[in-house]
Amino acid sequence: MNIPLNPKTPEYKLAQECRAGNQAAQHNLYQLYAKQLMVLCLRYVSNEEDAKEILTDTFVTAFRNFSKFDYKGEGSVQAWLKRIAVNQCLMHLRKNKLRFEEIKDKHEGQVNNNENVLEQMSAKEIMQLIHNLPPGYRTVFNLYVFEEMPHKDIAALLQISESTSKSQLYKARQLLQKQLIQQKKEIL
Amino acid sequence: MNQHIDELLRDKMKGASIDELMESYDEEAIWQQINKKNRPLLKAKNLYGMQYWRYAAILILGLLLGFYFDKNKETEVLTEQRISTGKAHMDTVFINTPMPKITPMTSSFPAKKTNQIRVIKSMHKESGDNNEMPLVQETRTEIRQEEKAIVLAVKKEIRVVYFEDIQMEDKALATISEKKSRRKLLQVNMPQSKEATSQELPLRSFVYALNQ
Repeated sequence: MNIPLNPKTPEYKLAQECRAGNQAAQHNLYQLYAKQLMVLCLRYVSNEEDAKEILTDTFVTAFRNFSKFDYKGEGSVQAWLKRIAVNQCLMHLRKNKLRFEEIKDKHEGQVNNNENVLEQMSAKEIMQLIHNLPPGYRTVFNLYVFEEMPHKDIAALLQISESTSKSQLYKARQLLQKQLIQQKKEIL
Repeated sequence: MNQHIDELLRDKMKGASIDELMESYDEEAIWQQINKKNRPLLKAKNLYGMQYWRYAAILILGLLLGFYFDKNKETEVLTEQRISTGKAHMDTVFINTPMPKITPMTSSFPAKKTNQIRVIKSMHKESGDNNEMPLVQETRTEIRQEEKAIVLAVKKEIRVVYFEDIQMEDKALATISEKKSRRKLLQVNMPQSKEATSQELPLRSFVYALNQ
């Protein structure tokens, strides 16, 4: 069932203004979403300067392509901007020769992460754990866990096989677990 | 188990503030950067599907090419002149216009532009005016000056060379690439000495025949 679009929502109005090239509206849009997009960029790229550059490119791309944006309801602007940001991050990683190692051993199963330790950790510490992962593992981990993409989509996006995507995620989880155990030891 | 951890991670990161994650986050500076990058480079106004600046670029390119080739032509002419005069001896006079040879035995010079003078004279007579018209006078002085120069050259025993007669012409002109290539073409068009008929293409044979 299609939900009728409410043209009176602020997001819809903002999208329309941005489409028309209104700079004040573009600034408003930037102020609304810049911070959360910056966090997203920082998850993919550990370097802050690179993250800033990616954020800049994200908004430039969005403003230039607003005519192609199709408003589909509340939250669609945010989702669209996120998608652009992820693509920009992937483009940046590809430029820096992102590689995915094919791991032939077991690549599915449960990893006994220590939840209690994770709950006690701050966002900055979690970000640090993610940054410590190799770029290939980190990319797949981000796409699967935070963007909630299935392996099939990740494989298509990164031009890798589904099994490679699964193995990268498994390895990422293993590495995270190691780091968490180390953190737990430090706390105790 | 993994799903639970994933959710936990998502929640943690959703609530994260940028100030907590970054030491130096300058929102305004990034906005300035976005504005700078987003500025349109050139107004893409089109004329028959092509932008104005492209027309301008093509025009400038055309002008530059025209200037370049024109300049080349000029230098070529200058080189031709320099070569032909540079090869001449100090006591040699070159005359481009083919004229009969002047020897001490036949020291008379053919009157130049006589027909022209006659026509002007007859017109003059018809009009009933006895005085010579300025054009006739001018032509006469021109002819006299030319004759004087040649007589002077003969008296001073300066060698007078006509391009038609001397082989040196070939040498002088051989250095000019355009004429050289034309000569080569003529040679190519010539049938081989032992051939009964030319093996050249009909068009080339025709050109050869014309050149003959």
